[in-house]
Amino acid sequence: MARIGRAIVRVPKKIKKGDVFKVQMVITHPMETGRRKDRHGKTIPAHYITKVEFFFNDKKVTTLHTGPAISKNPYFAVMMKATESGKLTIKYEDNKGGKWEKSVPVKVS
Amino acid sequence: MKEKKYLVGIIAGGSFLVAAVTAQEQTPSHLQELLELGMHPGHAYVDEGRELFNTMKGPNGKTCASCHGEDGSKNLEGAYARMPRYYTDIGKVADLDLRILSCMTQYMGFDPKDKKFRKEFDKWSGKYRVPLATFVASLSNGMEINVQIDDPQEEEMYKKGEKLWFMRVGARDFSCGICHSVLAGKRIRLQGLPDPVKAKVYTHWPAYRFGNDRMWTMEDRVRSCFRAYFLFEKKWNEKSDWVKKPPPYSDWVIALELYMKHAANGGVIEVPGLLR
Repeated sequence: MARIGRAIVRVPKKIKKGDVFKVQMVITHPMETGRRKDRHGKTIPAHYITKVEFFFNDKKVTTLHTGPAISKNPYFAVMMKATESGKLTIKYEDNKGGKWEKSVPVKVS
Repeated sequence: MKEKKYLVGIIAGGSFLVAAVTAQEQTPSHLQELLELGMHPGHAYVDEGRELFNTMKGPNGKTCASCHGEDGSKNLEGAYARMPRYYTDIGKVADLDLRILSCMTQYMGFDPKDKKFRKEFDKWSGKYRVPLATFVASLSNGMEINVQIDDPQEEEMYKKGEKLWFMRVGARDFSCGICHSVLAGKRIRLQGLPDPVKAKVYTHWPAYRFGNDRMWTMEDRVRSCFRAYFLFEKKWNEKSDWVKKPPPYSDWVIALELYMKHAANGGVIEVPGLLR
């Protein structure tokens, strides 16, 4: 499905210099644990996000190591601080080799 | 005397319980929290639809944006509030899904009989219909629903919809009106039964439903109702009609949509909705 890996990211519109603000995101992903079975009794292969990385102006902010215990279409929120405007890039990958990237502008006044 | 008093007490208590049960919101409280955060999984579909709208090219080399302007700025704002309506270029009363299909086949050059394309279009998990419909609907956010019935075709459709709403059909001898007009406000299992005609429920469709983690347009909703409650065939044939959906974009579905949306006139649109 083309829809897997699509993400929405929300950043507050008005940010003051040096303020701590919240970055929220939802990734569309099935997050299969590898333990569920389908109606024929076969196990559904595991498929989940393993890593989410936040970069601000090519400088790393945080890394989240995620696993199969997280729900479908997971929601992540990270508090961060910025002293200048720039681009927030979020890179995430799953255990089947999917790699995606999403970037949003951050305006600091 | 004492017994009578107790009886009255019990009856009063019972009615109180019923009252507490019936007062249920449309959006459950734990979902309301997500809405307030501004994080809504349905917005992923809106984003996807916007991307398709501006970049997807048909066989003619046209995109949606070449007629409607970028992000539908030219003539699409508020279009959803007037749908379903009669369109002269297709000669039919069309809802959002049918309108998108006929746009893609007439102006963008997709072949309506191409099986691969139709599969991709009709299925909920397909590429085109649901994201595009959600995006186009979200353009009229904050506007009032304003469905007018001026055309004779629309009038005919509206009458058909009203008749269908109360017509008891199928294996269970059931109609939409039994749940949504007669028993409206009560509960079925844990869900409140809304009254689409009085309560203006149409304002938050297309909606994202957590039950199966996907977006539903009204077309999907009505067709699934037909299937789930066996409303489809008047003469029920066990072999051919058991648990069958009506064909997509048929008069049955659009007539019901027109009836419900006309009843919701004046409601403010908030798309995509968020349901249990």
